[in-house]
Amino acid sequence: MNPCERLDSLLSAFLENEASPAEVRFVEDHLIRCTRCREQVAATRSLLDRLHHLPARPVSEGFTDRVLVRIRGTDPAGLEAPPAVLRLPSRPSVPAWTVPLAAAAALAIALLGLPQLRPGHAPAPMTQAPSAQAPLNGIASNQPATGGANGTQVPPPEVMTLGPSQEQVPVGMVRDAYVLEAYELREPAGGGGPVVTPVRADENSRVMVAF
Amino acid sequence: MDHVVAGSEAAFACIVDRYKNRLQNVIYRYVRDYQRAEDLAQEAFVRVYLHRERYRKTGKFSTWIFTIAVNLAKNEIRRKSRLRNVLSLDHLMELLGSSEPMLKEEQHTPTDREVERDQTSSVVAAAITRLPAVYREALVLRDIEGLAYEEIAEILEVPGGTVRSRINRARLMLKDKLKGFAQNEL
Repeated sequence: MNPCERLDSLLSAFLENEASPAEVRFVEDHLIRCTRCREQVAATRSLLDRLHHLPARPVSEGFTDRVLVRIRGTDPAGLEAPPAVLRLPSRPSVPAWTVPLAAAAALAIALLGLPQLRPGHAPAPMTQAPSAQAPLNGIASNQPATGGANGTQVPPPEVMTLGPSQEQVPVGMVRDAYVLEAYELREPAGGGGPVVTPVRADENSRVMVAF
Repeated sequence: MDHVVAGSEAAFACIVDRYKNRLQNVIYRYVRDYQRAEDLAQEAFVRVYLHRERYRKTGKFSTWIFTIAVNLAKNEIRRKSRLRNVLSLDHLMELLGSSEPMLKEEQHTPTDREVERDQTSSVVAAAITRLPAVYREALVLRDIEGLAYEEIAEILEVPGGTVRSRINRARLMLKDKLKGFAQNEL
């Protein structure tokens, strides 16, 4: 290691008065002889001064109050249960292709379940799948049953039309998956069935769907 | 802190006021989004409050609170990577630019010297964001937040010698990135 490289390695300790007396002597002796290292030391001093005075952006107004409101709502000793927060799964075993299907399943529950809870409200029509499959456990159907191969009544699977891409996804085909995306469900005033729009899910989302 | 542990809201508000800007700015150096940094700073304070009884009086409070903030910031980075919807660093730099305006406490017409200082600060801040993460975090905690080497070692969970060498290296790298600037501008 040549003297200039050694000085580089001692620079921080020297400037912060943490170098040993022997190191300080070496640096001072070297600086008398080396213009390049003198400039280095001066530039580093200026840089540190600049960093110490780098403007810090303040938090927005009302920050402290917002924190206090939150702690009142989340104190375990306290007053309310913590708000539901979307927690992203750490399990890598869930294949990516299951995600939209899981979302579709969640939507199916919402679409099929919620309207039935409202008295006098007819469920919105759903798109019908072209072929019949096995019944879907746990998913209520609002479609008439059709005959299965063994003569039993087998309802056809339902499909959901998702988002602007109009992708049609079978409902209820996924188990053991977490939903990574959230969808907003709206029923237009003019009718025509529910509109499903993807929305960005983040830790502030109040919706968590997990199978 | 004893009052906070006992559940004093007023005492906790003092702690929030004291650390809020510093926490937000440290988190910002990781996530590069002031809104998100503020959200995470808020989350850090909530966690401090919820876990206030776990605080060990033998350690410095600042070390504890910065550890929580840094871990939240790192989790955010990991979360974004998992979702794969994070913008690339280069793209972020493009969006943020190297001259993102800082909020000013006072509203007045800046002098030429002030304008020059602001521009220089922005260039320095942008250069910091381009440092590799391990060097950037050490430099931010030491040279911007003024934490002791021992505190930084605890927060980043690396030996003190590693912190020193990272900070030294970070300063050299930063100086190198700012070579185009005349010395008197720094």
